[in-house]
Amino acid sequence: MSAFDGSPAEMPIVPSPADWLSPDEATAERLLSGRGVGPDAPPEQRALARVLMSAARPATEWELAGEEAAVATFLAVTAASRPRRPARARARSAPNPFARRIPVLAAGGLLAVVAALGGTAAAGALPAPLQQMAHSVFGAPAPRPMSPAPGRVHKSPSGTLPASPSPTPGHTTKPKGSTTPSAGKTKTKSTPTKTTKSPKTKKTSDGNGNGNGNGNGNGNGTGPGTGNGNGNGNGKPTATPTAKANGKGNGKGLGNGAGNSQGDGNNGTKAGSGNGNRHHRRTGGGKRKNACLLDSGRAWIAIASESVSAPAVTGAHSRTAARDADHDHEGFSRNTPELFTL
Amino acid sequence: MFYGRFVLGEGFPKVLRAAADGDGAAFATLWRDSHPPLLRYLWVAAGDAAEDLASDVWLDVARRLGKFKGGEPEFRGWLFTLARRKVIDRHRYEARHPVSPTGDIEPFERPASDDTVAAALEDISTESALTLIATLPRDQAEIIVLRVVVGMDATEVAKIVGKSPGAVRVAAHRALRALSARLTGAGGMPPDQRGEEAGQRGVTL
Repeated sequence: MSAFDGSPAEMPIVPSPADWLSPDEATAERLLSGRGVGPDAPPEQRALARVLMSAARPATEWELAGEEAAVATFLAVTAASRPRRPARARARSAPNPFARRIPVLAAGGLLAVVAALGGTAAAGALPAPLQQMAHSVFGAPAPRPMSPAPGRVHKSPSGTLPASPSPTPGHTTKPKGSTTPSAGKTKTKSTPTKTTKSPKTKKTSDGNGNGNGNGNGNGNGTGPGTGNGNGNGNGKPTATPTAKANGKGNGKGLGNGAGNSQGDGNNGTKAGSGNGNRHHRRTGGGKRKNACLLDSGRAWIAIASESVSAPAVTGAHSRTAARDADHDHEGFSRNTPELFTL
Repeated sequence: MFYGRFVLGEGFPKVLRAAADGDGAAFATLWRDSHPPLLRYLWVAAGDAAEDLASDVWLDVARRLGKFKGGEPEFRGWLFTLARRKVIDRHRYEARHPVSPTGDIEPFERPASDDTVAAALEDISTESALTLIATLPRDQAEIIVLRVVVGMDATEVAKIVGKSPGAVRVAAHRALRALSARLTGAGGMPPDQRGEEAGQRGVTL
């Protein structure tokens, strides 16, 4: 039966909202809210009210017996958790601790690179373009000229720049493998297995010649009236000064220094060629032997003259050589040269 | 005085702040205020494991009290939410690890229902009243305790048990009818609840 096919007397009665809460439900809400029931309530409702009020009685001693233990536990937990709070706060502020170090590390690395470049630029050891840039930017030393310095003989088998950054008057730079004795004659000797570089001879007015050779060495000995050439080679003097001083240059390795050979222009003798003067321990006359210098398998030979005689080197060259002698071994150990005596 | 009402009232924020800062006296105040109803709720919901679960609940409270924000009603809601989760975990554990008692041990040491009914007619104790409530289906007993003992309204109870306020009201009314039937005899119980209770709790009045 639908709502439209029956008589009004047969229609269901829908309760109003005020009737939704039945007296039993209202009593239930009173019981649940702790308001109890009225004095005229049925006995079962009063019994139920007593049960509920008994369940909600104040705490008993048995229920409060664990207070001290609970407080002790609370204090222990609190004390144990307090030191962790700052760490947790730091962890929240920086989820990734390594991420915070990245800028510091980057700044440190950049600073180190700048310092290294600055120091290198101040020392003038940068490559020429960079050195020029540094020179223009913050006044670093200007790069060394690529053209040969006047009066200096330089020989660089590997094409590197000369060891001395500042050009020295009286030296010329020479191309690889050539020697230039400045005074006297130079004899060249070729070997069948190695390329022989015949040193060019050049007389200078003061009888000083510049040799360009790889390897460093000094002849030793001074002789009266005889010119002494400086051969290639380094090392300690092996000959004592004699009347005919025979210096034997024990060259080692390939030096970049320009040799200073001095010959006696008067007697036509010459000095040896091709000496690395940075490593000269002593200059002086001597009998040079032919020195064969090897550079990493690229053989080239600087041959000095035999029995050269030249005046003992004096003056600036000898002082320079003596000063440079203090550095000889270290320089050689870096260059790992070899010298063969022919 | 009906015990389930809030006790601390306006002084609760100050006590809570002090307890969060590690004040033992303030925590003791909170504990004295909330532990008895908590223990009664757990006793009804988890039986003999009530004290162990109550200790676990307060341990959680001590660890998280510094992060709690709210008033006294919110604190009670938080406290009993923690307690209810403990109860659920306990029941799951017992379901995975069933214990079969031997014949020499009584499965229940609670008072018999007849004794409870007899005591209810007189001046019954709190324990007897709770024992009678514990005979209800678990969800109904839980709602009765939260409403009567803890003093929450239907909306607050609904948030804790995960039901609507209307469902909470219906369950509470059914529980009261069931209790009334237990007090007066099985005749007062609706037919649809007899089988339900008998199947869930196995208690015959």
